[in-house]
Amino acid sequence: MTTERIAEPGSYTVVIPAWNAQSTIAEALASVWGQTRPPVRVIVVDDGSTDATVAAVRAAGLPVDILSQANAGPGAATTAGIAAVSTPYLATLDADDLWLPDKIERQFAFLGTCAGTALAFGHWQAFSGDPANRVAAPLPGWTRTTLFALTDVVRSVGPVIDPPGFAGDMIDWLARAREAGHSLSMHPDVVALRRMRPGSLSDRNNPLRDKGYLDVARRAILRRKRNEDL
Amino acid sequence: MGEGSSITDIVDPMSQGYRVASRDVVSESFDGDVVVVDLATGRYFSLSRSAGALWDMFGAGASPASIGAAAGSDPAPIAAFAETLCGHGLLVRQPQGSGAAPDLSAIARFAAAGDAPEVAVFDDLAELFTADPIHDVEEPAGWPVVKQG
Repeated sequence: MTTERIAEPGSYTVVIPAWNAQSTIAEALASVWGQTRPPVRVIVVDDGSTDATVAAVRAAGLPVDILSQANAGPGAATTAGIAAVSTPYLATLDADDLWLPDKIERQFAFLGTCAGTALAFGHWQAFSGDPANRVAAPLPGWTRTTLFALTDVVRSVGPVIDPPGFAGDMIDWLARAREAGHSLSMHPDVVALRRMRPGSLSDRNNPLRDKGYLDVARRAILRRKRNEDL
Repeated sequence: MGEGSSITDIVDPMSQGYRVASRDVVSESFDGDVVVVDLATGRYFSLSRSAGALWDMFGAGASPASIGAAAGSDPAPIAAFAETLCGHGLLVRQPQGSGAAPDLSAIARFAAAGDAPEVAVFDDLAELFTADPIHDVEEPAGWPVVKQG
């Protein structure tokens, strides 16, 4: 099903990369379609899920376009989704997170108050189980789940690159956006919720995660050296 | 220990050992260029070739004295560099030392590096690294085995 209305000024598309998200994707989609300023199109990029993610999307009964690809990572899936956007604005969302109902309305107004800013973010707050069960203080959400931006600017930054272990893909992308001269603005209010899985704890001993962050740092160092050599 | 003194007053800085400060301090060699990230602060570090070899040896418990002896080098600048890394929060002192002998391949890299041990410090991505949420989720969960930021 296509819900796109291309020419509408201020319209936006939502890109949701999803891999094995059968248990959370319906709730994520409901939070998108529950927006006070709804999107004109929602794209779920199924990254080769081995569970019932696609069936869960269809069962949600909401207008969604599904793009499918072989498993390549959240960055590659995000990039594929962005390539399919034809509205002036886009937003992205991780398949296990939720938006608050006025997220986009707030961010759209926020962009209008930040001269020269094309990329808006917002604070987010962790929850467990019930979205009302907030388990941590709000934090600045420099993340895929909070991004709302001009599509042309997002595309100009280039692809979202998947580091080893998928850790830090958005750090790398945001760093490149900043180095390209784009201003990133953080809305002071909570606009989204980050899902903590049952029994989960921050894992401070994950070598693959560490490799991802190190890869991101290495890329930043190499870009800096290249710029210094120019 | 006498009044007013501390253990650092009586330990020979050349013979004390070091260890990586915490599990938040992670590192990797990319074709000989060592990169270190402190996930707690979001700062990242680029080490010169000789510094990368020293980093490996410090992390394995070798003292400046033992490194200097094995490399035929003055241990004083080696100890000074270790203290620089301590100042950045990447190493902590092990006054008793580990007694570990330096790795010979690291000694060879140190000797062949031909540069001064230096560390470049970057904090431009600090708020992005520290804001990146990390999840450990139950299998068979999706991507956020490491939560994407």
